[in-house]
Amino acid sequence: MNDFIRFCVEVCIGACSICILVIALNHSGWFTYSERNHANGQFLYWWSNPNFDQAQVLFCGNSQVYVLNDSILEKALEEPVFSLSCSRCDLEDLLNPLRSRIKKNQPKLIVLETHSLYKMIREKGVVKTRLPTTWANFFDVRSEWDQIKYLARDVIRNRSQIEVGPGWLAEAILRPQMQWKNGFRKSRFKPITGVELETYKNDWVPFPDSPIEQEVLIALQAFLMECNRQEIEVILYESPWFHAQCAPQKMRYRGIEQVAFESQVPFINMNKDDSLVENPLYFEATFENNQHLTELGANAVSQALSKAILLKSQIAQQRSELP
Amino acid sequence: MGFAGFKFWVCFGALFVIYWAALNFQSRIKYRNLALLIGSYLFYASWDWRFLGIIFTSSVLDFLVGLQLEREREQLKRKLLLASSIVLNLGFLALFKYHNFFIDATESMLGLFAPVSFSRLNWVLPVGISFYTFQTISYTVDVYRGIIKPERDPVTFLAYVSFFPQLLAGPIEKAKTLIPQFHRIHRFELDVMKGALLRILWGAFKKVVIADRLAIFVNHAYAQPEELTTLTAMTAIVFFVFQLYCDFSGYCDMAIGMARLLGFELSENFKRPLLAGNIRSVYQRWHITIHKWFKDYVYFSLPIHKNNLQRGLKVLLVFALAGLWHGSGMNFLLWGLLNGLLIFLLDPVIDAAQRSASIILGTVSRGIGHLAVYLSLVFFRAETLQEAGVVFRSFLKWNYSDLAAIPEHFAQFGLHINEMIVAVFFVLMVLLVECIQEYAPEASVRFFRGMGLWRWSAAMALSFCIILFGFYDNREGQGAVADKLMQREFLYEQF
Repeated sequence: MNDFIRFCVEVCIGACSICILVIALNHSGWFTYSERNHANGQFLYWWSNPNFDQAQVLFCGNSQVYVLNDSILEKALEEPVFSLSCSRCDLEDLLNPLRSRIKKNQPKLIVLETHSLYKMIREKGVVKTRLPTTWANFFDVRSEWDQIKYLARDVIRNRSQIEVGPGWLAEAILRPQMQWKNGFRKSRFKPITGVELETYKNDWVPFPDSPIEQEVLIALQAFLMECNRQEIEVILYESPWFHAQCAPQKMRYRGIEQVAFESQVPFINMNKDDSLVENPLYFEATFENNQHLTELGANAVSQALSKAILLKSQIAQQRSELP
Repeated sequence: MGFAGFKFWVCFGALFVIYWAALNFQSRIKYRNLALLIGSYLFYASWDWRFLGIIFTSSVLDFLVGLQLEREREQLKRKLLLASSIVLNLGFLALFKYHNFFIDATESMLGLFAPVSFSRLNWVLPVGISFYTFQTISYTVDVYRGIIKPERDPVTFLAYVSFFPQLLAGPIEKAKTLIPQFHRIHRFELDVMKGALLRILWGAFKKVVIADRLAIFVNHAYAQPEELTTLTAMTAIVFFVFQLYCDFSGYCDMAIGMARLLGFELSENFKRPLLAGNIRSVYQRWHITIHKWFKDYVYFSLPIHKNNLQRGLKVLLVFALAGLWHGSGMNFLLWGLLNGLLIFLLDPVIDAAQRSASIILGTVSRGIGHLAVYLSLVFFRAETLQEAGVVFRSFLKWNYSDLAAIPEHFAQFGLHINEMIVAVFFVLMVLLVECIQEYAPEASVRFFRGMGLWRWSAAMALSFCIILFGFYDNREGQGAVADKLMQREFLYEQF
């Protein structure tokens, strides 16, 4: 009987050790690092970054934005830039940090990428923090099984990252500063290959026109008016997608153009630039509705975007007026 | 509810504690066996409660036949009793497993004279039916031969037939070895229990981390065999060998480990077959209990051979039956026959080469033997002979650009190239462990008897591998494509 008890105790110790390690891994945030879907966590990061306060040009949006090349942008615009963007974030996520920054120190220009103009479905009852802070919070999780899994949720959901994205994991652990200058990061996305190009040619139904919800357009217009009142210049732009990925987005652009026109804000639609949208090396190899720019694509877009900004914004004009 | 499910392990944990804390005592041995029987039946009913009727009927029939065989002195009546038991047991198997095979064969034969068509039965094959049917047949035959006395306690007999660790896919246990274990009280030996736990983890690792990972590639390859090229077909064949091995030997490791945790000793079903010297040796080391069953109850029941040709025919017959035992299709029959032929024709060449002084010749001949067995597994995995033919024909579709397109090929069905590299790494790890067990057994003895820290570390490492590298449902993002190609059950459960 003593052996039986000893065995049970040892098994319990082993199981507890595994659980503690998994919970610790979960709490480390390493497995959600690539997702960057915790806008609040990002906000804390931006806030603690001294460059955030100094930046005069803020690039806002989601994963379409943070891969841009800040050196190219800074060199062209001759102003310190900062990326206020994180994976999957929507306009609602961006407005709070933007307003806080404006209140503290007004930037000269806000460049808002329009893929973030959507309304994220926020699941009710799902706790956002990694560890439940109260029992009520804990039991708020949907099912009993989810409650058990809750403590290791991020590890269970994203554990394949060890294999499919070891670079993300290494970056999450080591946090190299070079990758995070001014909130921008080097794109890790791989370009479209020959095999995938064939799929686009033969066996691909492009994503349909996706107009922006009226509710989001109203929120955007309100924010643009707010900036107008405070004399902050805003430019809207749409990051390019590979030409075969989507059907022509007529209704989508009509909505944005109307808001831009009414608010007297320039709208740079980079999908009209054939040299960008037709180059498969500029885009990620994916058939999902979230195509990203590759490093090469991000550099090309950074060049084209900074040129377009210089043409449309008052920054260059103000600079030329200086004695 | 299979071994790979979380709920199963919660239930097993509860049974384990109750078993050792309250049931495993001399005065409660009947209750202990009854608890094992109820647990086994509940486990079996978790697939479909209607399956219980079949296993119960089959068990009761053999229990009664066993008792009657002991009473009966007249040889003819004894033979009739044995025949009735075998016919009824095989009748169940034929009804559930081979009905469509027989209908197809009859249609083909009658079709030579006039086109005929019979309706098919779409019955679900009860899990593990091939295993417990053979187990009960072995019991009746052993009683008939006087090797064992019939079991008088119905609970013990029913528990023997349905003992849950080996119910789904073996090892097929002879009554002589398993029933006496139900009659005695088991000692709780700490080292044995720790070894059993480690074995379960090793089995789970092989199943969840290696077999299920390779299954995605293999299932995709065999779902669209016409799209295979030389490279992908070869990869699919090699991956299937390791998938099958890790899946089935993983199951057996878990079954043996679980039985040991309850104090029972089950027979080994694998003995490092991938390191076997010739084809005969492969099958002496692979699914040992079924091959031993065929040897004991079929091969030795056939008339004694007088020459090599007769011996060869006996081997062919046994392998043909073993092939058909796996599944009711011409592909399984051909697979069995092919392996019988390989043993008969190729093994003497391999043996001669290995006897020669040349290491190279020995190694090459051993490699050829293994290659032949692996290629024959195409018939095992394909659903029809035509499908196997398509796989073999794809060997002619060589294309150099395939090599460069490997990552895209994996991505098509939701796998990342790194996931396959990790699979290869883990397969090599399994082979390394087996090489140590085979060629340096003293090292594995040292591992189990030496410092506990090594075993503890191994258990922790395996647990983490299962958690972090295991392939489960509901993969995220691009990996979700692989969800429909997942191999959730153990491969041998379907037999």
